[in-house]
Amino acid sequence: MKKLIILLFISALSFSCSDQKTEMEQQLVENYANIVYANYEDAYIKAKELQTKIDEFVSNPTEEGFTATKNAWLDARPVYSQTEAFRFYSGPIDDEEGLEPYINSWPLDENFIDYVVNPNSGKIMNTGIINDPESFQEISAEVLLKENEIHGEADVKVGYHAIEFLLWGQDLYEESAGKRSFTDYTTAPNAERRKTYLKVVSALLVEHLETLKDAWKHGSEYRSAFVKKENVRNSMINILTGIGKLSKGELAGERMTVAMENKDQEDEHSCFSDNTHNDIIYNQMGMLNVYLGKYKRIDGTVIEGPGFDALVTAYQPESTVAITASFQDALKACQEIPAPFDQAILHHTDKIQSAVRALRKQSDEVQNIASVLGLTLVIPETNE
Amino acid sequence: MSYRFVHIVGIFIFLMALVTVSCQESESAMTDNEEEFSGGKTATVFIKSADALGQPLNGLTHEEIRHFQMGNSLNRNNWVAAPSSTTARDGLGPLFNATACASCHVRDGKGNPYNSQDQPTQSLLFRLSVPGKNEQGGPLADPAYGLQFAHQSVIGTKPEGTVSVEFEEISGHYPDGTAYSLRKPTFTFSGLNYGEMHPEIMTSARLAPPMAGMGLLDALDEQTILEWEDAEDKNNDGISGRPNYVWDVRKQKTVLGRFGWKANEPTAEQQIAGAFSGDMGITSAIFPEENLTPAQAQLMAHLPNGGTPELEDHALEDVLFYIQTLATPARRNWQDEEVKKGKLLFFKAGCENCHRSKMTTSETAFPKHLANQTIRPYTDLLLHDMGEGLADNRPDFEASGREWRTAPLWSMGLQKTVSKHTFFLHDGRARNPEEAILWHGGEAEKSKQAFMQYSLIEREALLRFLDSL
Repeated sequence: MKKLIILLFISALSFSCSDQKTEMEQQLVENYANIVYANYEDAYIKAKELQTKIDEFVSNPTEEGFTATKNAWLDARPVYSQTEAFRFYSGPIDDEEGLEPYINSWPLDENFIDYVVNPNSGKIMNTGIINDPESFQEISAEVLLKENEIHGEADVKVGYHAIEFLLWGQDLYEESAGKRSFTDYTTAPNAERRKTYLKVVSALLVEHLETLKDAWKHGSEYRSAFVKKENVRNSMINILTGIGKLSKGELAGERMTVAMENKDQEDEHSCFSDNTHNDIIYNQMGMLNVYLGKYKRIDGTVIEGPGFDALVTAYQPESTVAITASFQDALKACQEIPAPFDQAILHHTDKIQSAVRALRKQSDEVQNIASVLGLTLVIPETNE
Repeated sequence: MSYRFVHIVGIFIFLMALVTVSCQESESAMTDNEEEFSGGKTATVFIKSADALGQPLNGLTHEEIRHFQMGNSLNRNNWVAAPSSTTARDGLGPLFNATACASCHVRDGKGNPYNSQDQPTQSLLFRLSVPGKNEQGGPLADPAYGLQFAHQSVIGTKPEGTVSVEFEEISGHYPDGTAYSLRKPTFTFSGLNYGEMHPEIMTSARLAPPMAGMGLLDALDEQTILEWEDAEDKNNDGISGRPNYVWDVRKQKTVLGRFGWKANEPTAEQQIAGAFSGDMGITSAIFPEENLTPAQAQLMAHLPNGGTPELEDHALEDVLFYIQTLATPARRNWQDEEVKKGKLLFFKAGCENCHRSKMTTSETAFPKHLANQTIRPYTDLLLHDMGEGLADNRPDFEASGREWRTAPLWSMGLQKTVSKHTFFLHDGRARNPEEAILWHGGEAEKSKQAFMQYSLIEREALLRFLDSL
């Protein structure tokens, strides 16, 4: 009889333990969805602030206004960079409709947009839609997003980096970012068209970020399916896939290893403004947010709930310390890359190598999280 | 015992021996205890998600992984028109079909040929030529439009035009009464910007094939491929596979072809360089001239290029390494009873006579990882007359207008997962593998008939076998 009671007690205990884990997993996934929504909303808010500054500048272009607009662009990037942790599992950002190319696409089709410098002669070539009123009478969203269906091409004429190009111009200098003058919007040829282009792309960016935010709000189709009880385990795989792929293939691989191998100064994402080092740091921050289940909004409020550190502890407490350390080491390594990134590619590759190693270690630990939780996960060397 | 009796017994034993030997031969091709390993032990990955075709083979060193990542980057990111700040990635065009390899070879798999309006996407390119042969014995370019139709251009010049398609449905019945319908595409070129096309112009639609496994096929000895050559059908089985012999630019001579829908490219390197040139307008050491007709070249002489060459040697090497070391996905469900039955039926119908199931790569292959691997690509890499229905009527080196290279079948089951569609054949006309089979004619007519004679259950089993590849 005693044995039976003990048996019953143990099974009741283990049952409620697994019950607890299931409950925590549910909360983790819901918290993640809340973080994603808040993060996209913050990106949308910042993009709207940028749009406001652009509209102000365009109505009265001044040196000070130009600087304020550039600062607004720089200010809008940290929140967006954090959202890259939500990519790579065909969520709303990169499903069949593929919003990502319209938002953060790189490299940019510079001479499709505006004048560029011919590297052979050093002379300015008046290329681009902006300088071709004959072929492109109107500059509008429709014209810029020309029929993609037939060609299926990712558009590199819109998004953050198109705005960046219009604010900084090509970075032709070793010691600084691009040096576009605000007079490109006053006395330079086609200044009015340039203004229009700037307004159109910033409005488009706001529109796209709004769509993204709405895809994740409470009650939306995607979110409801994402947090549904039956889908929780699969959603966790997606969450981990996102950060694993960002860490390994994208940051460590594409944006750092490839940049170093290419040794091409401008083979960096925010090449006009020389802001790539911040993109990297905030990308990592985004991954840390997901791991800890904690996101600090632009207004200072914090979205918080069970993260993977808590969940791993529930399954296998001895594993948590190493995993957490790998995330923090990766953040530190990213922060230690000297700015600007285009100089680091040439002169501080040791620091970049350290960051690559740390990010790869981090992705190994993401794989480890999956094992501990009993999830099947593949983190490839490269992403598509 | 009578002399006659001994005679009969002798003949009987001889015949039995013959039957046993030939049974053994087909049995050894049939039985393959490691058939799960499509790409051999080294280059097979056990993944069946959308990432299945983009993985490196096993055992790459850290250094090699860096090259793999470099190659992937060049394959995946779009090229931009010159001049641009990103000098390593500019030089697109002036005329092109796509801005990135991955635009057509989506996730290293097959492109999707038709969009939601059932019109051609960029994943379907169009080869052009006029009657005759060029100096190297290959297709002769159309004077105004060259060897490939470009529907996109950089700013400052016009694209060559647009292509549209119309389909004709052709219905039929299996002997058992089941109905089927095939569709035949007819392509029309319009909005031409460089004058008239030659009155006798020949055009051929080509769907972007998957890239995984190319390295392994590149690593086969020529002798291995030529083993199945039987241009005169000496063994009387109705199959007369012929090799294509094509121009190798590096070697400056004619060699065995093995890549492309008509086996018109000799090596993975030339295939890749040819695609950079023809599909994206990117020059390299192998194809240093822009892919333009003399008239176009003159017209566009003022447009800046992205360097000489635009794809530098080390970059071409990286892309080559990347593509060569892409692994193939393992078979799924290969031990399933229905799949095994389907495999038997596949062999019985004679499909394996062209879709060769097993071979071993060269001992001296490079990269070394690819050497001595037993692979299961389901192709003999030879040309076969596939009948009137599939003919494009456009010769390509030794290949006639009715001949096609046997398409490799490995990874076809994952096409729906990786590429999100099930279009097959050179112009994507077949909406699924079954339709692709029904289009087989010419040398394959007998096998196609055998398939049609199978019962519904047997046909399903064979299709399930194909799905496991």
